Amino acid sequence: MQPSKNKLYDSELKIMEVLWKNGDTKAKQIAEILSEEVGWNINTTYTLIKRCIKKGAIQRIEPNFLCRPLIPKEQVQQAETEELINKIYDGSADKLFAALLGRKRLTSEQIEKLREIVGELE
Amino acid sequence: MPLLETSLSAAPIILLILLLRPAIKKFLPKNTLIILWTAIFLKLLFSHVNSFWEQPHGFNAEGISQIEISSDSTIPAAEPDEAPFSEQSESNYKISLSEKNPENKKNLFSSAILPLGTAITTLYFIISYFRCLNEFKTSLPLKNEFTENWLKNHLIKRKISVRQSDKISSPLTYGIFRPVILLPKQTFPKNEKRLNFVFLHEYIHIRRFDALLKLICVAALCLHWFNPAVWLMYIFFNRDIELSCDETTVKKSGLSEKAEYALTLIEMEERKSGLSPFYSPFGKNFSQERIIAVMKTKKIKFPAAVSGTALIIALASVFVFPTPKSFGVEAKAEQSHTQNTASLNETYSEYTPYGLTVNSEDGKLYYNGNQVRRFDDIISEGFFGTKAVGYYEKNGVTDIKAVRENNKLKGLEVISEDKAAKESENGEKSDFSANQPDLLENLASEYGLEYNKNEKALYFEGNRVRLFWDSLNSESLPTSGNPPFVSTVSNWDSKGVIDVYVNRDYKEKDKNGNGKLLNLRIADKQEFDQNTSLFETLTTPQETP
Repeated sequence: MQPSKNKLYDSELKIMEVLWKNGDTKAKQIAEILSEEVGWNINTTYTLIKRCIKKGAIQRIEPNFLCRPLIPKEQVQQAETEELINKIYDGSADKLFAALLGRKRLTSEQIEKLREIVGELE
Repeated sequence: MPLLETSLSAAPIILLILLLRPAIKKFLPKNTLIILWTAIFLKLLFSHVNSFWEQPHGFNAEGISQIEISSDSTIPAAEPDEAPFSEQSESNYKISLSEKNPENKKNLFSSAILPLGTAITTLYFIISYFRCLNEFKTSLPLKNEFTENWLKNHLIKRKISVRQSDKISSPLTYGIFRPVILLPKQTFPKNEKRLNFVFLHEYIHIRRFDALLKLICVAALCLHWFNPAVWLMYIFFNRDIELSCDETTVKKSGLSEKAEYALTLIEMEERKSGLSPFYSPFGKNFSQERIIAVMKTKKIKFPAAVSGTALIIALASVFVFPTPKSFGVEAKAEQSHTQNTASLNETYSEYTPYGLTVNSEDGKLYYNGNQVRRFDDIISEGFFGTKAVGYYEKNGVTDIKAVRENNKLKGLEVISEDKAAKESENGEKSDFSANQPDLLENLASEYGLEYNKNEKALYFEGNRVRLFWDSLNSESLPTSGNPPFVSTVSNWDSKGVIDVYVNRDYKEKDKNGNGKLLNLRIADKQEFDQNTSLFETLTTPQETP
């Protein structure tokens, strides 16, 4: 397994899938394929490719921004998904948002308390 | 109205709603809260926009003071807290001429700190917003039988898509015109019933344009960043939008489902909580508030719906509707001010030759040795610019009014006890206008109406005018509430028999930036009746039998 900072998110895995399937591919082509397949615009795809490069999953070869997968498919397995939860990017914009709007996570005791409330009021 | 004033005047209303919030939550539809908050946001956003655009030098970095042109001033506009009651524009104009005025501290705030704070807050929210949006865009489409069927059964004009991301922790919706329901990865509830609740909740957000409301709310927050009350409102608005959405979800699914829905919320909360070691009292409180609110959802009875509507109208008419200027005049008349003698001298120097003086010791007005109780003057400036100077001192003994001919000061007139008593009596009874004869006379001459001195009433083509309505810069009727950007001149006389509207061509502007004046129009029967119900609730609730 790679160190956890190199974990790939689903979106990044999607890029990798294209490379695993087609071998070395130009970034432009990846963008075209994924625009068709999942509706990403070019900027989104390029952002993700750059993130993969940063994580060491893709090598960029010039000319033509050719992308080469550096990690084999087998190495990236679903086993990592549990850990991903740690890196949750909360939907509420930012940490301040989250704090303001009370979108923080609860402990299991708190969850239990909520269940009790439902039971009582039912 | 200047930004600071709007902000300050909003604070008590916000606190009042927060105070009433538990009761509203308990007895009224929760939409009531959303409507109230939205009304306040719009007011906060738009009430001063006119003057903002008209003062390009307001934010000048060289510390030149802000010139307020209160463009929405209608008939004698005097701001409630201004004393003496000369109009806002005049006093600020004075300030702008004297740059070395020590009051410039205030101007430094409004010309530098205020816009800087707004810029920082706005930038912060824009960056956060786009960071999120870019992250959401990396989500993957979710296509399965359940979602496809669900979308087929819940069609709206905008195309809704469903996507999935492993970077969010709870379901959410983004996009106003092309809404997307975004689900967290592997956060699928136990069964389809619960999944249906999740979809329904997000669908209701989409249908009600909650994303847009939230943006409006953030915009108001950026503008009023310095006001803690607005931050409070922001927090509670975001909560109430969820509570209201929960309420609708439960009602749509049937009240018997509320426990199941509450458990769905808890399940989502639980999945989200994952490995979090953090204790967050704030989050806990809201989750608890939400669960309790869901469990206590009940059918709204008719009286509750009616009182909810009444509450909205009552609060909105206090804050959001245009303040009838005469209310301002009346309110002022009750205040007794201690003034800075120097500024009084300046304001009243014009009247000194006619015997009106400011006593340098007590700062009060005297006329021929008698202390003045009330002083009024109306000066018209251009077509709609009207300046009002007013003064009231409880202990005074003489009432004085300025006499003008073609707008030139001709002298001062002492109003007799009788007449004054009559006037104030009339003033109390009247509704929109204080029936200040000067104002009406002024209004009549500007629009070519007839003015009956004995009745102190406006006449048009021989009939007494009840409602006079002029929407200056864009088309608006009294029944359309108070849309943003619209300035109006209006007068209400409950004894009138016709309603008169001013027709304007809003495509062509006159020199004041208002629509070109075309003619006057008498309202038809239907409009008249609509106005009857509208204004009677607004102005004379105590007189309804």
